[in-house]
Amino acid sequence: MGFKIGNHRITGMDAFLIIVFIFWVLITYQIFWADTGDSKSQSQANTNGKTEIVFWHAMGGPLGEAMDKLINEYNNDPNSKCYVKTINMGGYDTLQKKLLASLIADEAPDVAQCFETLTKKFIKHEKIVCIDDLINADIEKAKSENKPIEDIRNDIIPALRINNTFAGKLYSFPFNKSVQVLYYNKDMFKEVGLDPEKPPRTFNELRAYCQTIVDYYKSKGIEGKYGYGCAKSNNWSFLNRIKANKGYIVKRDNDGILKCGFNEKAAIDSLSFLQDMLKDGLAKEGQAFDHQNEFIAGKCGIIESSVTSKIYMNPDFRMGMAPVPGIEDETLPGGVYRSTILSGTNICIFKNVDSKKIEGAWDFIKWFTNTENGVKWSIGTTYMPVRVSSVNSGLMKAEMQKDPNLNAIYGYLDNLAFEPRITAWFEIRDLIADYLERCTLEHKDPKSYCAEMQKDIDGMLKHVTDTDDNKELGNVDM
Amino acid sequence: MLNKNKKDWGAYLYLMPVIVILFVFHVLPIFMSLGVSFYEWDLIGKPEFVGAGNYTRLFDDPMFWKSIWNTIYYAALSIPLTIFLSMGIAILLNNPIKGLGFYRTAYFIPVVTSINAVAIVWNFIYHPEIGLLNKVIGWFGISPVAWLQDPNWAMPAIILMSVWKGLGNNIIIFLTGLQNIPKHLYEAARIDGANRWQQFVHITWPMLSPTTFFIFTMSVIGSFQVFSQVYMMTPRGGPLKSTMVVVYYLYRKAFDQFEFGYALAMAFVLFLIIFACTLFNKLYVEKKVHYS
Amino acid sequence: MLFHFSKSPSNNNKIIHLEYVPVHILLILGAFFMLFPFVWMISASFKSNQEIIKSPTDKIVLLPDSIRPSFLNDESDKKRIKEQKEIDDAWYATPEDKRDPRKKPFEWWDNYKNALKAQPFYRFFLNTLFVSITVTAVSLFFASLAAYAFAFFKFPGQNAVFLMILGTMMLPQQALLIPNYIMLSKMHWINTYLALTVPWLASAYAVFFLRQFFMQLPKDLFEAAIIDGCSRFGFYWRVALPLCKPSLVTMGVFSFLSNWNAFVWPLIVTNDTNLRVIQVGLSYFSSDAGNEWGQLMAASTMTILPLVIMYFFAQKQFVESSATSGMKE
Repeated sequence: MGFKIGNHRITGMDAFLIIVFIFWVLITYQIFWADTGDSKSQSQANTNGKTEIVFWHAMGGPLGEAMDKLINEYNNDPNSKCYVKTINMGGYDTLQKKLLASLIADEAPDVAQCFETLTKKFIKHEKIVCIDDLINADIEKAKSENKPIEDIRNDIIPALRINNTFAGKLYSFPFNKSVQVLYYNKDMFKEVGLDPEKPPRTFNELRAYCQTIVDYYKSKGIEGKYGYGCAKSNNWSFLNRIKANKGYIVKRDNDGILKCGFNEKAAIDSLSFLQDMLKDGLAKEGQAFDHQNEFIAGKCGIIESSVTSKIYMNPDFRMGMAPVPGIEDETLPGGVYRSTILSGTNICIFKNVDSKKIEGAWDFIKWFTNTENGVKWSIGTTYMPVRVSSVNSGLMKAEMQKDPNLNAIYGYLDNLAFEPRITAWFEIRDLIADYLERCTLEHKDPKSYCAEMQKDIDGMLKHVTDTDDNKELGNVDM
Repeated sequence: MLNKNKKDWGAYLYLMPVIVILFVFHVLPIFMSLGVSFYEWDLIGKPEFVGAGNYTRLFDDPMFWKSIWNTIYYAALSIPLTIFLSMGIAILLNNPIKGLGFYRTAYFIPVVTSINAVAIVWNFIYHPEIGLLNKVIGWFGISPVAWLQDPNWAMPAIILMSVWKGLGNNIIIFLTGLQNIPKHLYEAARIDGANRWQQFVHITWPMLSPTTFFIFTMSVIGSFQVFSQVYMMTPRGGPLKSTMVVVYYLYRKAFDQFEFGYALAMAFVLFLIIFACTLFNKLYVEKKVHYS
Repeated sequence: MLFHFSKSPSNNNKIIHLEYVPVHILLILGAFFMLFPFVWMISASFKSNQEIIKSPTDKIVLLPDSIRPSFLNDESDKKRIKEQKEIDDAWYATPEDKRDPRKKPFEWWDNYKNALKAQPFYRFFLNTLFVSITVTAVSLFFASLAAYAFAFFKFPGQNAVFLMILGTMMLPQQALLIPNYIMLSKMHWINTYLALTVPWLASAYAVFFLRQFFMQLPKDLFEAAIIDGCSRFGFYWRVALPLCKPSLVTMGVFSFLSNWNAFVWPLIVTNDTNLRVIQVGLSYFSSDAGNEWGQLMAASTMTILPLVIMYFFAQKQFVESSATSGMKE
């Protein structure tokens, strides 16, 4: 047998392990002793003895930077009631998971971003503070102190207020709200003979513009260019088009039963509009950010995307923005009827035994969304301002003058709508996306998909109508 | 064997650290989950006992069966592909050739890279127009494929990427196994005039069998739980749900649709499937394994 | 360098024989497949978002425009670069307030600079290293103890315990997130280094892996040593462990990497930026509205490169150590 026991020669391996060990000791020192003492005293200095509010969010990249900048201002403001500590969860997905886990463990943050469906669950199980009560308390206080009474509710953009109102009470506060918009390539418009300052206003115009673009490049023998790009099986666009076609998504019928409107003309038109564009080679769908990339690369003239994508798109050409198209309507001043569906989250305050925390959180929300900061937030991120006073402020007007693209977003906020806040909505949403996918993969008659979709979703809605939470928190609003 | 007839409780002294930690942080949560799988729970409110309701509901859920089928499809293709490729490459890398350091590093790099960045790179590779893969198959006159956007090709694309990502791991394990094979066995075989194939069949394959057994068992456990690739590369479970695998489905049920009890029931059905496969491996396949 | 033919192979067994040429060809083809995405990633880390997105459809450009020497450019590259320059010039020529708010022309290090600025990566690195090294060292020790027991002892409940250990790997982590979180919060471990390390100090994977290699050690060696008066722990420490060095090293590498690449767990159990790890930092570059492609690629290159270089040099050590210790007769 040829093995040796107790061989003490130092091998390369031993040297490696020794180096790793020394390294480890240094790191451990750095983490536990060198740094923490520092940051502890630092954070104490920062909070200035104010109550610390923990805010969980999912604002990454440039959006997060803009937010942190604003929040820093708040923290350094001597009049602010608390110190806000932001924690980035990296995405809505993980934020939601962490929220659920922390609520079960009774370790919820003080404030967090929430989608409406989740808010509704929080209300049902009494996890969040009702903002309405806080506003009423403010008003009572102002009355008793003989100060001017200000009802913030009246200053929230009406659609956003309804969006956050459950069973007649405002529970959460709109925070980062976005809409779909059209982005278009002004240089390409000019090249193909379209007016760069006249983006398409209606679906018919959009189609005609795309035809012009495609025809132009075909005549020049240039391949790979097309008119309109959008994301694959994009619910948001589809629902937007239904609303713009004056249709509805879900409503209560006379017996109080929820019914969806996917087999109505508005929905069928919405579906066939896209299918026809794809079939005729005017449009192309892309996975994830493909359409955005192709647009930046100058391959397509117009895309539909979230307004926040603006920050991520810095193309080499002159980029124009326009509201999503609508339908002709002579009775309206502009001759076009538009409707846009809102997306994005709201902010919730979680119940806490420490009333100071709730007070601080509320102070922070009021500050963050006030007239001036709302404008800053909008300009920094392109999220919508949530207060009417922000939209009408001189600051906003000046910014809109400076950047005409902003005008395209905030100049057309009529007929804002939002997705139904029913419990099964996430499931239904997924189902709609399946149908949209099938429609563009199989290219069958849109009517058949719409009929099937209606049947499937009505089936699901029937189940939902009877569940308590939907009755109590009532308003489906769509 | 020593201690053959004794009750050797002393062995548990050696197992204790592992058992304690695994029990507290892994086994207990599994039992907690098992309990919850008999409840209807939206994660926020009070759980409601439904007995075996979540399990019986699974049988009528077509998407669940589809996800099981997709998972089996994934496992059936990716396991043999990974094992044979990695074994072959490991045998090649076990030759006394130049540039071993480079090769070993090259094959190991995918294991090092994080799935976050890798998913984006592969999305570009699979891109229907500018993607590299379509360019490469174009050289052979094959017309472009929409890969991740084509219901028939999305799963193979996920599998290819998974093989790429996981190959290095198995190569290293096989290499370690190969290095444990005594060199003199080959020398003796060569003296007896055995050719390469005979050497492989009579020495490498049997001597490598403990390693192969390990890799096979782990691949079964791992590939039935495939998640990250699907989650990162095909949002919503791929075109026409063609990449909807069980773990992704239960993930969506749990955290998008708040049906936590139902999701856990799914997890336990998956657990049973994996456990049955592993038990089968342990009891029958391991009999064929050649330990020294 | 790779194809080095020698007429006197006797004095160096690493010199290539002609018979290994097909081996090299196969390996190089495979290496190309394995390396391409990685090379693409590094290349993209030196490109602006524009350049990544605008990559030409007819060919693959790996050398970023910003650092490519001009003699490498063919006609289409020249045309592309000229067009880009025209666009840049036109952008500068426009008065500042009329410009599209577009980023300044790109320098090749911009992605790295911006990525480092965007996140406290230094701290993330420290945390990740601390967690990875601690967990690797301790879990290897614990796992090898258990594996030793499984391979050399016969004890009541052996199979059951082994299956239980394997069983902990069979329930998807996604299903266990919530129970795990509740557990840790009951112990007040949320947002501590304990939560990042302790649950992973026992690795079922490592136990199984090392068991496979201990099983291959000759049993009579063990019996002879025990009869000679060697204690069981003595045999483990002085014989079994050294003989299994290659597998320990392999497992060490795996364990280190799996901790290095851990994402969901650290994200769920920590809140403070001070406790965050690299992968969490990487995830901040993607969002629902767009990705910072270039920065993400730069940041991931930075997280991978040290490991790759370390692995390149270390793997030689591993091979040598196994050559000297892998004695079995």
